[in-house]
Amino acid sequence: MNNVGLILQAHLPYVRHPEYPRFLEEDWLFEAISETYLPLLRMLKKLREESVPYSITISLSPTLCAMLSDPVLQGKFTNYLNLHKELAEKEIERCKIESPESLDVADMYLRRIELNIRDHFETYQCNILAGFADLESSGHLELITTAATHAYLPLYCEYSEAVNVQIALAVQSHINHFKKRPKGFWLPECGYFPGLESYLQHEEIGYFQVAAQSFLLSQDEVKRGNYAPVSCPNGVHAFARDFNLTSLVWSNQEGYPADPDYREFYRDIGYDLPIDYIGPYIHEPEVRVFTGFKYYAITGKSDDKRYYRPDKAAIKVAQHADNFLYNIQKKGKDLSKVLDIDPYYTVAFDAELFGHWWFEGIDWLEAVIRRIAATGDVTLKTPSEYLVEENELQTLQPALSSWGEGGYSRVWADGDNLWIYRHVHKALERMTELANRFSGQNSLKQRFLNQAAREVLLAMASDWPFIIHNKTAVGYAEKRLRNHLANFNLVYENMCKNAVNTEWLVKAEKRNNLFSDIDYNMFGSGRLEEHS
Amino acid sequence: MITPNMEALSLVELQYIAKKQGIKGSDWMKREDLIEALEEIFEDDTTLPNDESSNFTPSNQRRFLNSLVEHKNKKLTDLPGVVTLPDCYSQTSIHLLLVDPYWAYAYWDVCPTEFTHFDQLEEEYSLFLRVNMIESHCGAEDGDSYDITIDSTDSSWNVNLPRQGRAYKVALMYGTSNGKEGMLCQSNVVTSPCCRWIDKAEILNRDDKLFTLVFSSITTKGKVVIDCPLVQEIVTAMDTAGRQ
Repeated sequence: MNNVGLILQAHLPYVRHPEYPRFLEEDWLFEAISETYLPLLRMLKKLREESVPYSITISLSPTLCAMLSDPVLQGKFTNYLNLHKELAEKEIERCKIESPESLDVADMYLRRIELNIRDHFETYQCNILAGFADLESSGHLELITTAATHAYLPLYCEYSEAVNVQIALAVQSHINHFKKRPKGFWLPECGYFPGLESYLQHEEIGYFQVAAQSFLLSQDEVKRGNYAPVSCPNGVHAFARDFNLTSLVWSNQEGYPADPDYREFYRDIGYDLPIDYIGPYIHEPEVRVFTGFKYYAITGKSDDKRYYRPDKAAIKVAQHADNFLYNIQKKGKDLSKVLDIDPYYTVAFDAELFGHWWFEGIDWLEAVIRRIAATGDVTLKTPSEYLVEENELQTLQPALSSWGEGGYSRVWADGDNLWIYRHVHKALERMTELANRFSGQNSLKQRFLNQAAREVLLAMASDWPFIIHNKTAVGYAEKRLRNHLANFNLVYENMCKNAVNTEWLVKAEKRNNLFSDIDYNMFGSGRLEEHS
Repeated sequence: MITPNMEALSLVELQYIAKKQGIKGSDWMKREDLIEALEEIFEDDTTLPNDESSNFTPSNQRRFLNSLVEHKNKKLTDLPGVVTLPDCYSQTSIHLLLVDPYWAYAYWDVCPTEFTHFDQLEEEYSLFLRVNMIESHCGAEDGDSYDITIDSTDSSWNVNLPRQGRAYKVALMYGTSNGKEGMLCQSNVVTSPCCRWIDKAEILNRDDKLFTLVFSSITTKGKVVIDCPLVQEIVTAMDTAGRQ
């Protein structure tokens, strides 16, 4: 039997600007809900209704959960849906006259938006986390968590209090949202340093995911490659990602999503149509953005594109699902000659790849799950389900690693973003100093210190250095980093004078309001020892 | 540019935007007057950034990178509240951050009083980093070290880690013209990872079963090995061992 662990990790940075009626970067969330999370939930529910067996793991990051359950953002998403419905209706009329080749696709977009509106309001009452919880309760999903603000942990390994808070607060947040303790932990960017498992053990985490090279580069000789999890010396289990199978999807040169018949992401009417027409649906006054209305196929590398044909794309979805299953079965056959047990390996992807970046990705996932269910020799199994079987596992210390370019920390520590660590590390030192000097405060000082903890955690997010590295929304990432650090410094300087800036505090609590039950004392020295 | 929701902004924020928009006397204006003046400006502002020569990003650019949507918004940093962080902190300390097996990043702060002290010396002084290689966190220093000359205006340096599997720490040092040396501060220890297989590559060449188990999940269908320098070193060591 070929056992495969399919893991989707869903994460977005905390972006919430109640001070603006519309805010450009909040669209990251709205695009992900419309194009990935709601369609994914529909697909998974459909499979369940049809009694197709499956069992997969989804990591929902604490910042994503905070945003999905936030009334301000839920209200803004409602506006987003209504605006897009209006645009879809307008697009049908436009296509009838100007672009009849795109009429079917415009009609498809309208139907999808209508389904999203139905699901958002009627099915999930504006909080789609309920959908994930429902699928977990029926045994189809295992929900796990990741670091509180998705900090890339190897670059904070010297700051044990901060690493501990990232993990403990994530678990607390998961319990708040799903009323149960997570068994697994997605390490942001698969960033692992030896010893990290001790923090996970403190929070009763049973397993975590590492990059594909982590076992091979261990000082211990790995016995079964990546085809069985290992037990770290402290008993927490590590599962390595199978790079071979995931690269069939991830490779931006030869991966399935690059097929010429799939929908082209970058041709969007937000950029293509005249301002007079598209103006109300982009950002004020005239900032062109992606609207999600795209009518062209990838075609090739040139900018001369064919019209997108969903029927042609569907044929490719079936072919690519067949090919993925073929590769799983071939791997199983090859391994049966060299492995003493049935293999278990994980294939892990960013959830937002499916539907958002790769439009047909959710159809492909569905096709893969159906095909696996129909075989007799491949099973989808979560890491927890595998561990329950009590297979005899090798004890091994995984090696420092990440799934980023180069396999270490270069993406989050390159020439453009290294400057941030001087400031974030200093803020962490000072946060611990504050927690030690002012432990057990109540009332205003407690709220002031809690806000400092929120700000420093938000500054730790791996998203900011990642965006700076990729040179995408650099201005926004830098602004966010600087503001969180400045907010922290404001608290630090005030507390050093034994003062509380109440006016600022009230505003800051409204602005960055995640982790409502945070306790700044978690940053205090010695909390880890107390815990153990 | 995004038009802010004026009503949601504080007086200080409104004054900041007004100043940026060139409204004179904004520091003394009332909230209502500020909002009125700003709304007039935003209503009149119909100028567009003229960057639409290419309406969309080329299709071959950064496809399917694990990244967020790129928006062409160049004005966000003009919004109020973007703050300047201190260039340095007034505490003499040095930190070492491991980036990969070959490089670490050192950053340091020197308390201004240290420089005052140096300036009072009658001799000339210079600063340098001393990179110490140590066997392990607990073991004694084995004496291997090298120095990097730095300028008193430097505050960070990319530090080469010449040998893998060794622990490193970096000291910020000063030296005077009469040969006297002293240490200002010393960093934490970082350990450059190494891999057991680099010295045992012939085993992987000999043992097909082991080779399949460890390499089949880190290579693509097209036999491209995962992007990681130590894995690449293993491959190179296997090639070398295979030729011998």
